[in-house]
Order: sequence, then C-alpha cells, then structure tokens
Amino acid sequence: MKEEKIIQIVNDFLIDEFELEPEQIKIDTLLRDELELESLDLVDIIVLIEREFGFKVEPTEIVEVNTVGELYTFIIERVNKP
Amino acid sequence: MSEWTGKTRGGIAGYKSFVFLLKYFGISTAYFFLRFVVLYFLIFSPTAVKASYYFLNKRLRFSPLKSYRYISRTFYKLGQVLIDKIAFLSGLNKNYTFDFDGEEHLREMAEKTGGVLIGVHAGSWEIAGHLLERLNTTVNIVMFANEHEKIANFLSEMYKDKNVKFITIGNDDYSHLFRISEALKNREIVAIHGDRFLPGSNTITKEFFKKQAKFPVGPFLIPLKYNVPVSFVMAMNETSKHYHFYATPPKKFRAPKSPADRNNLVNMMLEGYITNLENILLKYPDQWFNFYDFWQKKE
Repeated sequence: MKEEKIIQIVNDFLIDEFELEPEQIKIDTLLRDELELESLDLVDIIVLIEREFGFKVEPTEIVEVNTVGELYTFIIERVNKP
Repeated sequence: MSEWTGKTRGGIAGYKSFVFLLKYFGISTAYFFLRFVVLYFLIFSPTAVKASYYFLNKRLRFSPLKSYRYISRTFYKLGQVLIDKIAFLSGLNKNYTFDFDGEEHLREMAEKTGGVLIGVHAGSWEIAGHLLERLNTTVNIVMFANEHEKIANFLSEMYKDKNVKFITIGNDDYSHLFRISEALKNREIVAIHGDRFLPGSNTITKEFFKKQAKFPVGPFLIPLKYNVPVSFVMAMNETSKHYHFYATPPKKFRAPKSPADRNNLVNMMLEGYITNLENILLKYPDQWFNFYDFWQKKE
C-alpha cells in the first residue's frame, strides 16, 4: 500500500472519529497533549489499524507512539515489512 | 504526606489470617482482635492518622477532640469492612443484613444495556461488588495491578464460581482497556473506582469539600466512550453486620461532539459524582478510606 494512501486513511479516521479539523493534523502534532486523545481513543486507533491494515498491534507498541508522524511511520513500516 | 503510590498496606497473609479466624472462631472474635489491630495502626501508621485527621478536622470541620475520636472509628470501620468482606467470600453472608437504594435501576441496566458503576474507597467496595451478584449479569471489577495483584488472585479464587471477573490496570499497556471495551460491548457491567489514580494519569481538579482535589479522568470517560449509562455506587457499613447499598439512577450522557465537548461532559459527570460522595461522607464520616494526602496541600 502506498504511503499517501495510508496517511489518507489515518487522517480520515482521526477527523471522523474524533471530530478534528484537518488543519489540526500535522506530522509533529502530539496525539495526547494537542489532539487531547485519551488512552481509550488509542484503543480505537489500534482497532482501526487491525481492520484497515491487517496486522495485529500489541497495546505496548502503541504506548510508544506520541505524534501523528510517529503513527504514520509505525503503520507504514509494518505494512511494507517484507 | 505524599500522593497515593499504587500500593495498599496489608497483603495476602493478612487476608489468610482473617479467613482462619473467621472460619474457626467466628466474626465476633475477629471483631475483638480488630481492636488491637486498630491500636497498632494508630501508633505505627502516622501517615494514615495525619491524612484521616486532615479529612475530619480540616475538610469536615470536626473539633480536634472529635476528629481524634473519629480516626479510631475510621480505622475500626475499615477493619470491620475487611473482616466482613472475607466473611462474605467465605460464605458467612447469612449473618448480614442489607438495605438497598437503587437496586431496581441496576437491574434495568444489567438486563438492557450494561454500563459502568463508579465507586469510591469509602465503605465497602468489595461488599458492593458482592451485592452486585444479585444482578443477572457479569460484573467486571477493575483494580490496580500494583495494589491488588496478589489479593486479586486470592479473591479470584474465592470468586471463581460467581459471575465476577477482575480486570487489572497495569502501568505499561492498554490491555485493560480492551477488556473493558469487550465487556461493555457484551452488555456487561464494569465497576471501577473514581477517586484514585496512578502517578502520570490524566486528572481533573475539582472542588471537593471546599478544597481543590484531583480525580482521575479515565473512569468518567468510559461511559462516554462506549455510550453506556453510568451509576455511582457505594455500600456503607451502618451497624455491625449491616450494610446500606446506594446506587444513583443510571445516567446516559449524550455523545460528545469533540474532545473539548467530551471534557465538558466528563466535568459534569464528575461534579455529580462528587456531590453524591460528599452527601454520603457527611452521613458516614468514619468511612473515608483514602489514607494519603488526597487534597495534596496542607493548610
């Protein structure tokens, strides 16, 4: 899957699910402090990843993800893993 | 005084000792031995004494003399509650009587939607949980791993034939959130405390007995996130072997429109929780069992 497509899916999800404005979503935006996402919201993100990208995420892995950019990278690396 | 560290005094040995006493000598004997335990804690647990005095004297405005009298009562009540919990789990519950306020609301919740029950470290949370067995559904009790790992295993063993499950909150992952999510999707009941948090958790500061105190955000977010009703529950000890169970009418909040709107709804829910808690504690001032610097500032 192309990186642009992955980023689009993630952005659409963040906008729809958390009622965010597109301009709020930048590479260095902090998920917890700036977008005010809570631990419970990260559970939704894990569910999205599993559903849309078809790989399983351990809850401990998502704890390490702090920014929108890190979320993109996390998914892109796993999706494109040989 | 420091904030709550995630650990509670006493452990598996204490529980087993009381089980032994209860089985072979009865509840009254256990109550008798409790007097010595209370004396021990009054002498050797200055942090708990100080925290209790602060609550009674500064927050409830009791006189110094009355405050000291109530500290002993608080420790004795806590001991009684612990003995009663073990007695309950050991099958000695026929010795107890109860009043129920709001059970019908919980029955409806259990039968129709499932939901979240938010409790407090006052009165007997465990007996509240035990009384929830009367509901025809699975009750998932959420506990802190550090606080209850061994005790939870022990209690799980005692609860093994009952419709109660334990969900432990660890420090390093979100696995408990998945279990909570799964339980609520299955229309089960999730019971969680609304008064304690681990360092680093998200909190909201609210006025509680006329002074700002921190409360965890997590428990109050769950009903919003899963769109289920919430009720505040407590089981307060009234006289020896008599408890009064309180459950507020379940309230279902509207779906939040944004993270900011969600914060407003969490604030509203928390205000309801605090008002209910203040009313209960004014009625039962000797059953506030948070023995650390809850308000995090000395006067």
